[in-house]
Amino acid sequence: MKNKELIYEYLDGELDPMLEEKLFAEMSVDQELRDEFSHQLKINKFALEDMNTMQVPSETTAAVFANLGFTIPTSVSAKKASPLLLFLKSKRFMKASIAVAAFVLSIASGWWLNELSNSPQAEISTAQACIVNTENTTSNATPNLTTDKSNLFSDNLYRSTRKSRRLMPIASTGLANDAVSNESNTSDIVSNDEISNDIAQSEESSDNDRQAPQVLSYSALNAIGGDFSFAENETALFDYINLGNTSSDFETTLYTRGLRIAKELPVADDKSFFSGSSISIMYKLNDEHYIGGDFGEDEFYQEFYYQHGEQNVLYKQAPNYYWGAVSYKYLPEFLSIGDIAQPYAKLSLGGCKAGVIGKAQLGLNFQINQSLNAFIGGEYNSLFFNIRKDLYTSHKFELLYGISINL
Amino acid sequence: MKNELNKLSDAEIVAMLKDKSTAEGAFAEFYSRYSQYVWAFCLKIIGNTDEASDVFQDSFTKFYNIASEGRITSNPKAYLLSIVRTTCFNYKRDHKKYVVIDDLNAIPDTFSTQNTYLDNEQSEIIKQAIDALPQDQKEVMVLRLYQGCSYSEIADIIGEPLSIVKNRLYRAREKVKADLARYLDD
Repeated sequence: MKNKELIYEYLDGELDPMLEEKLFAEMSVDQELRDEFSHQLKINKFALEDMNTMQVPSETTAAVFANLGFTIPTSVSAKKASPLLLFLKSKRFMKASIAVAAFVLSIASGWWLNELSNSPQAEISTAQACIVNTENTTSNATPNLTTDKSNLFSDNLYRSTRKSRRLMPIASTGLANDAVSNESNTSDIVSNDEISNDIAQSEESSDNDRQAPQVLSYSALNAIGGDFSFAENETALFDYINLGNTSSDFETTLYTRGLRIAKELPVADDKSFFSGSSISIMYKLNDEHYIGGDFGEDEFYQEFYYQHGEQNVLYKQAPNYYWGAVSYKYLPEFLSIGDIAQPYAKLSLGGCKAGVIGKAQLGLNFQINQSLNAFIGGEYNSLFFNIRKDLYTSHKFELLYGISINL
Repeated sequence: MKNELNKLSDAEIVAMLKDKSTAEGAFAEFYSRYSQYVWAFCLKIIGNTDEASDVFQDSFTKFYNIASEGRITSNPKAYLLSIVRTTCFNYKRDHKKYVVIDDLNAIPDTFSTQNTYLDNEQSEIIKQAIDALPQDQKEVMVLRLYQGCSYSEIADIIGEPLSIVKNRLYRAREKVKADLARYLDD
């Protein structure tokens, strides 16, 4: 028997006592053997320490006893887990918590960004904005109620409008419906001092080269059910950026969006730098299903009526709203095209200050390498907003493309 | 009752599992004696806490069912560990997450001494070294160092001759020592 084997058997308590003397005699004259003994002693010690760190999880103990129909004695588990604790520690709860947290974070972030970015006058909701326009006398940001065609589209006035929400009354409508062409009626219709001031300011401006939008004349109606007209086939190059990464469990993605099909204001646009950008954080439930939240800024065309006395005024605006939504993403494996491409669908439901937002994406994901994916697809967007109990909708469709980065 | 059970041998405890009126207390006592050993074995062999938990539960359930039928007549600890071992390997076979060990030389050395010595605690290093052992060597190391099993107990548990047990332990120790050589010399 080798001397090493003597050491092993000695430490294992298996060595014959007769051989112990031989072992220690050998070690007394052999430094290498003493080192070997010391090494093996350390390994045994470390293994024992490792063993002491491994405690049976309380939920596992609970499961064993539950499987056998026994109650858990305190002598076995001093830290008996309550059913609530077991639930709180469960994977299902963790996943649900992450989804809820992502949703709350999305909504909170959208609300917070709105608070940061908007002036006090602009913080009001769309519905409130209409009321302020007719009654409030302090706002310079939303002074746009007028039926005076020549004043309405002066650059001076338009600038003050588009700072925040570009609220643009297009025409007054009513039973008589002559306000559009009758400038003398303006002061009668709009008795608001500030609005009159703004109109006066706009009249001082000689810069009237901005093309006036189409003036529409509508018969009086309540527009309950909203404006469901969609896609005037106007397209515009539209930048849309989402930042993100993909990890083993969480995914965020870098998006860019291209052509948009939507109803738009017929005037030059000056979208905010972040307009159309958003961040998506998704938790990977498994290889096919993701849940999480999105939040970002997006422009929505809005068209609605507002009653001023006997006048029914049509407004058009394209404000930028910060929005948040809870999202679900599905990547069906059975539709995968080899290891290269995989289709996906994503649904988001959330809200902004104006109302409820829904988004639906369909796209194709291309795996470039393990850390980089490219994708292309389309997104359908809907905004449901309420003006004085009248429900309106706004829709748009955008081309979606970009990359996702795995970190 | 609890104090009385503490004084009983494993065989006496297991015998009480046959009687439903005493089974619950006896099982709790037996569980308190060996649950940590079983857990350590499951964790070492399976490597994943959730999966180890499943195997752990199955093992104790099987053990109780067999014991309640009076089919365990000697060395309950070895019998339990034998059940655990079989359950672990069946689980791994069914889930095919691990390589079946036919050729020990084919097992890659996943333990990188260069990357771990400098940063890890001592116990973490030895744990990694043992985890990186080939499966057959790892199980005898775990049974010996973690479970405190004698050579003959290990032989019973794995169903191999004593000489095989000694040989695997020897090779396992040599490999662990080689992996830890730099650290052990410090």
